[in-house]
Amino acid sequence: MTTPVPLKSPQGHYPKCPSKSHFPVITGFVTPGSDFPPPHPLDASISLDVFDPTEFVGPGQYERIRVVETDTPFLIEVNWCICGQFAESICGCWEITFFLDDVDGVGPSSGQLPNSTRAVAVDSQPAVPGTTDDVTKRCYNLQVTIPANTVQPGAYSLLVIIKLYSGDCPPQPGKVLGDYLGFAEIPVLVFVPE
Amino acid sequence: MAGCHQSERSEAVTPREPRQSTSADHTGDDFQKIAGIGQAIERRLHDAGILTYQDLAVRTPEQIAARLTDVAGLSSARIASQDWAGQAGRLVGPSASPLPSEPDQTYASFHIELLLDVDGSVRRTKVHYYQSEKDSEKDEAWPGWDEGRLIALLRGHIPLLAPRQPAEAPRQPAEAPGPPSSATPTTDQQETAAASGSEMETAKLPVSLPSSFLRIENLGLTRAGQRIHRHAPGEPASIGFTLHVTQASTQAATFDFTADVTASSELGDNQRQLLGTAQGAVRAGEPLPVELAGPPLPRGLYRLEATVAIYPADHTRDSKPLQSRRTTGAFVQVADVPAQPVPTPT
Repeated sequence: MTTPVPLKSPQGHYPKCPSKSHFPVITGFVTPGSDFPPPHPLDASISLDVFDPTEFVGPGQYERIRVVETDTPFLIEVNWCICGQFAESICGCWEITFFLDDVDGVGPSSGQLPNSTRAVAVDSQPAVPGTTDDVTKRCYNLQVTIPANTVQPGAYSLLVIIKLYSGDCPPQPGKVLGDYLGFAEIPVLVFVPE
Repeated sequence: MAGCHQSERSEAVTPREPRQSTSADHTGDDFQKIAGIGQAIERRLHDAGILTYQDLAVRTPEQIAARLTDVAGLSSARIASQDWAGQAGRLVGPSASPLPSEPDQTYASFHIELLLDVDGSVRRTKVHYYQSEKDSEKDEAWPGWDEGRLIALLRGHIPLLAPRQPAEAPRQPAEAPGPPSSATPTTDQQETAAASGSEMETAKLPVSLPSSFLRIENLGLTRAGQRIHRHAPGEPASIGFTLHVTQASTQAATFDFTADVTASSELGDNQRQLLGTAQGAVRAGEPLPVELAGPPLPRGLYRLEATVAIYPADHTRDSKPLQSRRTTGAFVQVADVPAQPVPTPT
């Protein structure tokens, strides 16, 4: 048995500094038109971010965060767009639900984020003809403020799921359309006590 | 198709906030008499506006779970297995009637446990029926595997699955053998067929036929024999699929079939349109390509669905199908053809 010799210099390379802040989010949005050959008759995209509604980094611009102090509220913003020639024809109700998954596996706050489910009427936003990319779009913005002390300290991932229901928004959302699903996940969101 | 087929709505982003009332605002029935409900859940039910046994009895487990999304570890499956609605219904008493606005449905929940040997054979079968009012009828067990006994037990608890009694035999006198009616179903008939399609599969599936007995493949739009995914507005629908009936030694070689093909809108507007009905004979072991034509579809995105029923050859109009199956096919779009790209000058 040989004794390992301590390394005196890095064996690999240091990563390059990013040109700008990079906050990776895993996203996807399946629609009935996703598998058609281009140009897709119906497609969708989604983004997710977390902000500190008590800190401003510019006029009307909250500070983007990935570390949340448990005794302060945090704001989740979801943006999604339906694109393509059938974007204007869609009806129904979007249901947006949020989930936390504790990375360490024992956190007390895993599961559905309490009181965070929202419903957005599909026709609450108009379809807008495309300009630069010539694709009709219908875009939505949802901001949900989660009160302080909702989540216990720990490392979590944050997931948002968007489903489409065929009926009117509550109280009668109808049946879920299984061929629509949007999701976005922030892999690491850390909650710390003050 | 321009826009939705639903009523106009003017609401913008509509947060679905929980009710703001507190348990102090109202009093309700004692839900803690129901197994599975403690003080915290009872308070949440009351806060959610479910105040009486009757409120609880008329709701499905999914509806109840939807009101309690902030209760950790609570799922509709757990609510169903504990039969909250059934327990509440028994506390209400037999005279109560469900609210007219709620769906009239109940659950029949079973737990089937098979003790398997190392070679995969069944050593013991145990069945627990949750909704039984008598403890002596909740559990049943027998050695080995007895398919007939299991089905009979399920049928004993679910009236809809019970075999028809002689008194319920066909109300219409049997007619001479012949093919089923070739008349195109009316819209009402179509709705009925669509609504009961999946139920039909289960209820009329003979135990002796394997689930793979009938298969429907390659359901989609066609044009000149080629599979396509897009029709132009106004173009008559042309649909094709392949029917497979498995060769089985205990069955005849030729069967009659009927097939209804519908297009369900995928744009959230609950639109469903019958495209056509096909019928004929199919030989076991020989794939049968089926083509049928239908009316033009409005502009939109659709998913095709086919419901196929297999009958004995030369069956009567009142014959029950040997097996029926509903399958979903390809997505199709009815849209204007996109403009051809302008060729780049060389």
